[in-house]
Amino acid sequence: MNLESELNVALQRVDPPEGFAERVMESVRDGSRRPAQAVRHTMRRALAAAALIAAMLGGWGVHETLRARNELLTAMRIASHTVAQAQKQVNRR
Amino acid sequence: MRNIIVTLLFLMPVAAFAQNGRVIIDLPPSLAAKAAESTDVNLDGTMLRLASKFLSGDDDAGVRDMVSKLDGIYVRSYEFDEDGAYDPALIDGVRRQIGPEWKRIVTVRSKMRENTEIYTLPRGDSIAGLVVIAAEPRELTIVNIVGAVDLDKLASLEGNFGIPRMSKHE
Repeated sequence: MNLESELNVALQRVDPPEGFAERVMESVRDGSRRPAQAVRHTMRRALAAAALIAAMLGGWGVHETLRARNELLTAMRIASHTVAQAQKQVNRR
Repeated sequence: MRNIIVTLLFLMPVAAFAQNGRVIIDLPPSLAAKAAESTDVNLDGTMLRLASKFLSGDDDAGVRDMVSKLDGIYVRSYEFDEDGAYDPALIDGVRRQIGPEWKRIVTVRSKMRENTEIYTLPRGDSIAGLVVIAAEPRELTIVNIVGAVDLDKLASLEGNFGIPRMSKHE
């Protein structure tokens, strides 16, 4: 067998197995769908986590602010009472 | 000599505070433990502004207006079940911070009742700081307000606050 004949045999056209084209196309479709789904899942999880953290921080912030408000009113009550008492004592003399 | 320098270095920030109207009310935690009721409030400018946003209604309007000019409110108040439960010398640490630029505007001395001292830090026509020390046999209150305080307005606010007194258990 000469070289030309060997090449003809080696490069002979071969038909693909049955269903090969469909499997390839399906694989391509799945491949393009999967990353988008994964991104959507990750984004949903991240948003849920962010919402939870925001709710926790928001709750903490409101609690701290209300505590500060009560402390402020307490401080003003004590300060005003003490100064008013001193003024009364001075006026009595 | 080294000890003197170290002491001076420690006192320098305290002195700088006092010139801004702020004094450090450094009382031992054991005092609160001994007290039947105690109040400890530390609100700097940021916290004051934050807290004042939650003030609403006519009752709080006077406080809101006053607080807008302040940079800090610091209060220690103790009520004891028996006479002489605290050492009057504890107050000296606060008095030492009140330098010559402060003016003592009120001194009330009574053997049986309240001893009150009111100091102000004048800044132009207004006041940049206020320190009130009220010492009774069963009660000790120290108030430091930093910022432009209107004393008459502050006294007129008495009785406008319907909130419960904070206890040491809170």
